[in-house]
Amino acid sequence: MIVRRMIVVGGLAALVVAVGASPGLADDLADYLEDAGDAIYSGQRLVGTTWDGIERVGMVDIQHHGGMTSVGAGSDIAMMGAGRMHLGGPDDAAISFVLESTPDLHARYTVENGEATRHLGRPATVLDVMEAGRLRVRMVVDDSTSAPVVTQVFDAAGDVFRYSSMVDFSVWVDPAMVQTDGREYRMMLPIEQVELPASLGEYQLIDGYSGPDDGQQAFYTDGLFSFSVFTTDRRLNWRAITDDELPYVSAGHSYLRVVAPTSVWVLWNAPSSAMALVGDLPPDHLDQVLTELPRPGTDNWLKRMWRRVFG
Amino acid sequence: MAPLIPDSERRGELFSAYLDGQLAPGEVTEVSDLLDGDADAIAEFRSLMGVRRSVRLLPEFEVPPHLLPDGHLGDRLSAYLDGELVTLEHRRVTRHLVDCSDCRGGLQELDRARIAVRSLPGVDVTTTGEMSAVPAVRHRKRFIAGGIGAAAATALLVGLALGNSDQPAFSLDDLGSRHVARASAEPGFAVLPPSMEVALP
Repeated sequence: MIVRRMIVVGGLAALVVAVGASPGLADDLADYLEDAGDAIYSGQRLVGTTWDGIERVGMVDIQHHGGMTSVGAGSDIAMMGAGRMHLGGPDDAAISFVLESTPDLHARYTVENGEATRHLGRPATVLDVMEAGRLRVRMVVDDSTSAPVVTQVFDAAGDVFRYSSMVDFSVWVDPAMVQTDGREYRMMLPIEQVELPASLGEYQLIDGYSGPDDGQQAFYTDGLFSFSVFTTDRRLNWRAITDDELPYVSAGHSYLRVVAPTSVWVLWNAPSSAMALVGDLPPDHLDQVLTELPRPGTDNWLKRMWRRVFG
Repeated sequence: MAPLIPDSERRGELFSAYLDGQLAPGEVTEVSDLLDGDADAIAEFRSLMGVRRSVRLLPEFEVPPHLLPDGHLGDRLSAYLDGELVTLEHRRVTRHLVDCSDCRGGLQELDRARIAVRSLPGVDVTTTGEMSAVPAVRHRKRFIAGGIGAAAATALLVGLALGNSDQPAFSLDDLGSRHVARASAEPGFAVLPPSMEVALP
C-alpha cells in the first residue's frame, strides 16, 4: 500500500514539472471554485441573508470532503454534493440527479487578487469577484486548504446581500465522510423537452427534470450563482404551504418571496400555471430573470371556470 | 551518504492519503498540525492539489466502444442506484454519465425495473435483490398508510367539492432540496440546505 502510494506520489511530483503546476492560488474563478470544491475542512459556519430589511441567519456544523458537504449531526444531518442530497437518517428521502451536461460559464466574472489576511489565526487571501467592473463577491480563502472561509455577496447598490463565515475551522473531517452511505436514491433523469427559455438574463438553462405536482424543474446557472424554476400546469395557493411569505414587487408585478439564510424562493401564479423560483442569485439578477419569465396574472373567468370543471 | 528527506517523503504520502480520505485518525491529527502553520508543508500540499487539478483537466482518452466493449459502467450502475459507491467513485460515475447517453439510458432502465419490482404486492426486495418475508410491522404500516390514503382521498373530495383544488402537494423545502441537490453538482459556492435557521442572538 505504502509502496504504491510512494509510486503515485513520485509520479505526481514528476507531473508537477511536466504541467508546470504552481503552488500558489489558482488563476481564475473556475479554478478557485474547483479548489474550494476539493477542500477538506470542518467547523461551524454562520450564514445569513439581508434583503430589504429582512434578515435570516443560520449557524451550522459543517464538514466538507470529496466534494460532499455534511451539515448538522446525528439524525438531523443533511448531506449534499455531486448532484445528491439526503436529509435525516438512513430511511429518509434521498435524491440524486443524473446530469445532462456541465456548464462552462465564467465569462461574466473576473477575479482580482486581494491582500493577504488571516482568518481564525490562519493565513488567508482576499479575492474579489468582479462583474462588469463592480464588486459582486468578496471571498477570503484559507491558504492551506483553499476553503472559502468568508464570502460576501453584494447587491447592485454595493450592500451585502448574503454573507457566510466560518467561526470555527479545522482540517479534520470524520472519515465516515468518504464511506458509502448505502441508501437508495430517487434518481432524477433529465427530460428532453423543457418548456422554459434557453437563457434568462445571463443565466443559461443547463437541464430540466420532472418536478412535483406533474410539473417541471429547469436548472439555470451563470457559473457562480444558480436557481431552479419549478412550473406546474395549474395555479396553486402558495400561501397554503408557507406562513413566512412576504410581498415582493418587481417591475410593477406582485410576487411572494420567502427568504432563508442561504436561498430565496419567489412564488407566483401566471395566467394558467404556478411558478416558483428557488436559488442563491442576488436581487438585481433576480429582477432581470423575472422580466423574462411569465408574469403574475389571472385568466378570464370563463377559462377559470372551464379549468375548474374539466381540469 | 545523506539520507533522503524522510519528512518530505512522509508528508507527500500523508497528503496524498488525506486527499483520498484514507488516513487513520492519528494521521489526520498529524496532517492537521502540518496544515495549521508549517509554511513548507502548506506549499507542498497546495502543489499536490494543483497537480491533481491538472490531472483532472487532461483530455480523456476516448476509446471506441467496439475496441473496449466494457468501457461502460456495467454493474457500477446498479451500485450507483443503490448508493453503494464511495464518494470519490460516485463522482467518477456521475462524470461518466454526463458524457455517455448509453449509460444514462441503462440507468433509466434499471431505475424503471427497480420501481416496477418494488411495486409488486407482498414482496419486499432489498437493495441487493434478495426477497425477504414481509414483517408484521410493515402490515401495520401499510394499514396506517391505507388509512392515511383514505383520509387523503376524502380530503381531496371535500376539497374538490369546496373548489379548493389549488393546494400544492409538496412543500417549499421539497423544492429547495431539489434545487440544492442539482446545484451541488456545479462548482459554485458550497451549497447548504435551504431550511436551516436560528434566532439572532
